[in-house]
Amino acid sequence: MLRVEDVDVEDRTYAVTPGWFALEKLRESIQTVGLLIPLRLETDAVRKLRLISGFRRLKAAQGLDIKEIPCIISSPKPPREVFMEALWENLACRSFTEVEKGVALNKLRNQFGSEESELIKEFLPLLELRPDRFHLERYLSIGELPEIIQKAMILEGLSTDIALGISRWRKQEQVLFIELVARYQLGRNRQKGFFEMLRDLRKTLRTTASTVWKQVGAEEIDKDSELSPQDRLAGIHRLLRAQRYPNLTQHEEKYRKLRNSLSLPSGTKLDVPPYFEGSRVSFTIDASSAGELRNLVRKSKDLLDRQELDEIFALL
Amino acid sequence: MKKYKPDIVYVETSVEDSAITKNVLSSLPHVSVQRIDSSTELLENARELNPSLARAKKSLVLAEHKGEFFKACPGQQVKGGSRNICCNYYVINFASNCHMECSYCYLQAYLNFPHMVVYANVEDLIAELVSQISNHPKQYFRVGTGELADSLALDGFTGYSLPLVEFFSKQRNAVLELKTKSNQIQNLVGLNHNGRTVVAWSLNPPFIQFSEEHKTSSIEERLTAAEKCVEAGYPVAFHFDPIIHYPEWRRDYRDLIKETFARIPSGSVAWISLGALRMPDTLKEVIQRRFPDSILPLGELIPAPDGKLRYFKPIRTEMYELMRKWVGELGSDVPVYACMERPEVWERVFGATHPSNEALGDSLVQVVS
Repeated sequence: MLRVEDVDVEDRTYAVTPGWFALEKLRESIQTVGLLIPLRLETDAVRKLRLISGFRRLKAAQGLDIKEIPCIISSPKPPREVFMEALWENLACRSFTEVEKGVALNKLRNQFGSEESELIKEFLPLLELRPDRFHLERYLSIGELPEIIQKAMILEGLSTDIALGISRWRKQEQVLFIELVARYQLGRNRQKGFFEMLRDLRKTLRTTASTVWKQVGAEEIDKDSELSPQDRLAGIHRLLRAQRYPNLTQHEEKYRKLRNSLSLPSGTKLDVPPYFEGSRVSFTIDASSAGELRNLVRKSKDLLDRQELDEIFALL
Repeated sequence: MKKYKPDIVYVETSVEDSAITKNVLSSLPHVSVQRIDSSTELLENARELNPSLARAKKSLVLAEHKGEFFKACPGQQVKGGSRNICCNYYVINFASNCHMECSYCYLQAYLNFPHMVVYANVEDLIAELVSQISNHPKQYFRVGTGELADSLALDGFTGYSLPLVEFFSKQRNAVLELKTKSNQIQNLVGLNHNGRTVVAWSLNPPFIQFSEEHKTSSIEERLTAAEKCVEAGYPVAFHFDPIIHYPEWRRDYRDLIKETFARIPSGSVAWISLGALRMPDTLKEVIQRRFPDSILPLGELIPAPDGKLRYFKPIRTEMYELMRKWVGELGSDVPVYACMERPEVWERVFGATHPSNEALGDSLVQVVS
């Protein structure tokens, strides 16, 4: 057993898991059955004992005010060898998150002298990644992302591509986007949709995502407490889309107005091809009996002379 | 054009003695050469081993083309139940890849390998052309070499144009189109082409050339090369493709068309094609990654039925209508067609029922017959 205070908790030489990782489950486990797996440490003549593996267990134990913990103390070995042991030990127990994979690769490159070819051939397969330069560069970038973005990846489900995308933005913009994802619990597809519109608009308007947000009126809708979260999100999406695709949205609006003014009988439907690509308009009658069908056909005859039909075809 | 000089030339032993290989090796005396039995493995591994596409292009592979050189243009294929109007074109795949770096180039997302490849077994190509063209005298062929590579960018050291121009000069039912963004026409001047080779340039306003067509010849250089080809008696052609939509596009394209017809007599222009920017979704991602400053992904692009992203229809229809009008004002007799467009767009722009692919192709062949 070792006193917790004898461990240098600041020394994260061998850690691949960020210090802010969620610990609730682990804490609950320790509270219920205690610390079952000992921590591994190495002695250091000058400093306190240095942790090799068990960073999360140590932090959870500290949080529970546990004073003594089970441990195995190894004699000093070359740091790279120790890191490799820790890596293997962790990988044997669980899969790494993308952030942990990125941190591990950065440590191997920056602290433990791994060459690029070794990282590609040896370590990418070990981390269950495709052994090519593209993946190496991608994961090295993930490992270097600011903490706020890495946290959002783990805690809010921010997609990796978008995490890398917003890493080039200013901090204020990153916060704006991460809060959007968190507040509306955006899934991957919606994240992508909002990210792409903001990215393109900030480039087109040569400004920041925060300014775009204000300029299009998204900020106002976002704060409108009278709207449901769903309506707020839909409203923001509509505003951004109208700015990003002005011709398309104007066209859609024209079509909506024309279709509405036709006052189609209920049970009938008029459809134009997606994005107006094509030359055919479909008119559908949906009836559950011959009588209902006759009735709808009769009512639909009123449409025959309507100018709006020509105008709808002119939109194609 | 930024001159291409490979770091290494790989030569498949089966094409060691080809005229193309000899041309390349004698033009690049200081470049290291490695002989290989087969380029298959080299090309398969190239993508993984090379950090960037641009660097990988510094390897030139002289290979034997084992498949067919001569094919119908892929634009004729029906995709996703959607049919576009095409010009019944045929292609000769004499090379794959291009050292120039146009942000919109579809080869970035299309080719499986990043190296420059020239198929050096030109003797097999000519034999195939005899079988496909000379042996079908009742069929007319418009044939281009600019599908998977620029037709002329490497011509300075491959000399590929020489046997091709010579072959087509003797054909009565075929015309060759050499399509380029370079000014590499030195091999063409002085050849006996018999009017059966059309030299064509892809044109965009200087602003787009500068910002999106990296390492290509400037528009000035391209037009100068076109003037020289006209002097040498070649029919020429221009492809305004891809037409890019940006705030000043009307002014810039009108100026470009004016400049083109100020320098090239319309009687020497065989045809003009128009094509608004289009790309598969995967290419958009490549552009964003490789060319972060490109304005192309910022356009109002929507998914079209053929699976490509295209400008929203009213935008591209207006582009075609105005381009056609400007060309008509300055080169009234020059045939203009839209490349790979939807039938309804074609009808709106050209004010007539769209032609069949065969009829469109035949009408263009007749221009140079």
